[in-house]
Amino acid sequence: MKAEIAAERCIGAGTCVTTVPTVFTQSEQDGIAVVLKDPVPPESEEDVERAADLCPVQAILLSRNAAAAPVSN
Amino acid sequence: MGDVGVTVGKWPFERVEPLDPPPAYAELRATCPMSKVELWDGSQAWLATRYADIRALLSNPGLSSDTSREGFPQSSETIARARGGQKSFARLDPPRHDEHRNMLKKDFLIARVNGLRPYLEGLVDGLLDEMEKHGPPVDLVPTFAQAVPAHVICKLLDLPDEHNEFFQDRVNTWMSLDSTPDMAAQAGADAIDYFARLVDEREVEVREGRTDDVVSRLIREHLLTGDMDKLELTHMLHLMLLGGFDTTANMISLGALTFLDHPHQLADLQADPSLVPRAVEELLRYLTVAHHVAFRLATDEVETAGTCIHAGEGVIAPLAAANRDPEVFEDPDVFDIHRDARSHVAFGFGIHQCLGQPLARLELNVVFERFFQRFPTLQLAVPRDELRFRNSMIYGVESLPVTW
Repeated sequence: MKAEIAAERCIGAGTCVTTVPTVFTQSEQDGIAVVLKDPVPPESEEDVERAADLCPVQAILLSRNAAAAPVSN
Repeated sequence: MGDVGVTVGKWPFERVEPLDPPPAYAELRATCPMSKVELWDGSQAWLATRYADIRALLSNPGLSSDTSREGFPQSSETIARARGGQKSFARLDPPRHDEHRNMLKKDFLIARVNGLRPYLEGLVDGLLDEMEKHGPPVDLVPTFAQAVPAHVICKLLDLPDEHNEFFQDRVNTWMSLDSTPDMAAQAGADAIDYFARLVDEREVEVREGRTDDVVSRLIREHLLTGDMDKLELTHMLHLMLLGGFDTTANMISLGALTFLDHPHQLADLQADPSLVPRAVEELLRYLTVAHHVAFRLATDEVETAGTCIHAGEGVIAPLAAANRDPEVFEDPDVFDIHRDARSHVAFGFGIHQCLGQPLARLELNVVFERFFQRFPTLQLAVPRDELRFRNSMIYGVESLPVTW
């Protein structure tokens, strides 16, 4: 699984960081979320899907060897 | 039942149990999840009650948050007048909203906010010391629940700590059930004036070299550069008071009350303090104090749940309705600190989701780690049915006399 941030959408809420701090952090420069691990470690995949769902602006794009797409609409 | 164009009732609906949302939400969610309600001025607005629809609506760029738009729905005349005076980015749409919010992003970084933990621990312990010294009975609302966020605002904006009493007094008067509309309006105006004067004073200091606090940075990087004007900055600072004071204060007092209502849950919390973060999320879900927010005006045609909302129509997407949706939260009306409540939308959803949420969470976590440890025998000092609940924009309790 690969996680990417749609930076133009990110509002810096940090829900992803609170949900999975091993995979997400926030840039000190501009507050935008940053992915720390590529690919997402298998044991974190479920939590990362949760983070993508909780993101208030649906800025986390998940993919598995295919085109990136938001998890939930 | 809601045939298109037929209203199902008048907004706002009545609560029955003070800590539960109006029963009308559950009834409508089951029978007519997208309905129309009549507002105080005779106008109509769409009312969403399902979690999925509320999230979808709050994410939809076709819905505006600009309360200055004609036909913007409001809960009451008082709130309409109060909100009309607000010019902060909470009431703006993109692109201006995004520009303003971006100016504050760095101040609310999770790591940055969590750096305030030692300060918060000292603050909470100190206030609990004072409570203990004073002895019972104590009104928890001014002594503790309001005191915590009032001090934190002063810390955040680098104001003299003594000013916390001014904020407590002005916001309390603004929100109090016992204030006349004139008293409330005056208190609101006093708070705005305070920030206008702060901007003027701090601007002088910035020109003389002051750099290290949020206000100075905003002045230097955005006011003096012409990114925004004094009125916008005044309202931005006022928003930080608004967003972070009554909300947090009411969560503390109602949170304490919730635990008094659920002694088994409290016992679990006392026995295992590692439950505090989960308990805080469950309190946020269960209480959803921001109960008259998430109002929008459609500027475009918006479709949700098979319903077509036309441009110019008002929309109400109550967070409390979402947070009690049985599709998402099993036995939603049960307060259970063991459940995973993280899907809640107590802080809202979409681009306007609360900027201060990391700070709110930190405050609530520190409070609930310590409060009942210090006062394990805490009880209400008045009969529960004598408590007076505040039904304004943010739900709360007027006073909470306690003893131990």
